[in-house]
Amino acid sequence: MAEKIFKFIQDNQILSGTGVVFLGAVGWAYKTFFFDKKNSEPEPGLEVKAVPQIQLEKSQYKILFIDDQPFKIIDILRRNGWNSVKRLKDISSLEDIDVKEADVLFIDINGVGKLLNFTDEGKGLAKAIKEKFPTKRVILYSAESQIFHPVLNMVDKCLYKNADQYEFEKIIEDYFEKDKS
Amino acid sequence: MKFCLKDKNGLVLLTNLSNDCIKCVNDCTVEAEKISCPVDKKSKRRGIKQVKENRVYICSNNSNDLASPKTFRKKFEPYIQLVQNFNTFRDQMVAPVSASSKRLVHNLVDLNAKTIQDLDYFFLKIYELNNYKDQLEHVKKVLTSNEEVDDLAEALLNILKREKLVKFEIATHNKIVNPTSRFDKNKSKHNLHKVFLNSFSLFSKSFDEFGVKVTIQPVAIEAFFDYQSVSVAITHLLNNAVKYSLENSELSINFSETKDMASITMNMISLRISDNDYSQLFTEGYSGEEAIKAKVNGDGIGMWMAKFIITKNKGSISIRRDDNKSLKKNVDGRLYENNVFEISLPKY
Repeated sequence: MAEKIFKFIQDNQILSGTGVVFLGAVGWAYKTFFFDKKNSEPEPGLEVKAVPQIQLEKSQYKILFIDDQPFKIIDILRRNGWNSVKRLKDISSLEDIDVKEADVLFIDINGVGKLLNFTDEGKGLAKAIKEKFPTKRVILYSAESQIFHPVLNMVDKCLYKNADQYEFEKIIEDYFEKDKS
Repeated sequence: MKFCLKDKNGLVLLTNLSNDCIKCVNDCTVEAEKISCPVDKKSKRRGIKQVKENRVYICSNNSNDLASPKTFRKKFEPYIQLVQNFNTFRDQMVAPVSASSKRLVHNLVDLNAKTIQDLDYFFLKIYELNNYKDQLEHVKKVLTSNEEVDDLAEALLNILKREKLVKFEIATHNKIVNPTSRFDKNKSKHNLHKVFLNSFSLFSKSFDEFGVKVTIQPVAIEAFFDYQSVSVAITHLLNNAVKYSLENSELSINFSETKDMASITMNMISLRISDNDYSQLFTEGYSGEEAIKAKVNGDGIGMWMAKFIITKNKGSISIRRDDNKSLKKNVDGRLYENNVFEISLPKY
């Protein structure tokens, strides 16, 4: 329909002041009679594109949290369209399919890495993952800030556990934008 | 040479003595005396010296020390130096951390008390119910009751804001304890307006209560910085704005940018900043003269910390009198002026 309107404008060479008013009227009519209606009732025979392409990519972006405790931020992320976010309490192998497929990993410093016998828990696990998959984005998060460990310089970011939802999501968005382009 | 350094409370700071030797430290009262060692029965010279609030004990079996008390006394010197270094270290490193911990606990208890009272007011009955399901049902009943919905909404909003303030208090403490933490180096591009609003929302009620009319320019500009720490700096500035603004005045927040920098400017009528204040306002522990006079001064860490954080993010912070307006007001003996606070951060 839009193409038809623009073709009409082109065909009639509507460029004058009157044309601008006419163009506005056409735009208003188009919005009122076609656009709004289209939102509520799709025209029969029209191919319906369910979800825009960008949304599909976002929902497929794989985010993995490794945390022995439930973390509400995961639910918030899912609610915001990051449908491929997942939490594992721990991992027993670096070959774990969720780890291999993850685009971004958030690892809690405490309470994980036990199944792989890392004495320094999440720090050891993050180090091992970063060594095996150097291009994966690994973010360590912790309730403490007084941590001194070489892995802090290996991981991509270190985040306070009480970071805002904004901070967690901003990190994901930034990586997503980079990976998308 | 054996030594033992003690603090003013008699606690051992540093020593290479064995447990058996500690008794000697307590028995010794003079700077130099010859003894027969109670542990190995050999002839030794021991001495104790008071250095300000510390005590330095040394014990030697060196023949020169045994022969001459004067030679022995000279051996105190490196240990006196050591204990002085220790004191300096404690003053510079430990004391601020200890003061910050004390302040943190005080502020957290204060916030916690208010939240407990808010929650108890509405949900006190749950303590009488020992079954989780019954507790849940009671909470649902309160939440769906229309009688106190306004008070409940206000309480929940207060709790949410207080929890954000808890985070702010902990973040401030962390920055004092570990000023260059890896956790504060997550630089990224952020919408400065959005980041400002995230912090500002904590104070909207306080500005309302003081009748301060706030206008925030709706301009989205981006800058490159660590979100968490810059939020702490903004919160410190807003905290001061609430405390020092003139009641029923106006606070105007504007955003601007140059080729390389993005800025937030806060124009307000607040307690006068004296010429003396200007040179020291960013010094740790310093509070403005008018603030002290009006007895509304804080711990003097807000501006110091804000500057530290903004500098770490390669930005700048400044305060100036707005001479264009040059309003001077005396309200209840307090002097107020137009002041401008500005934070600038790099765009890239």
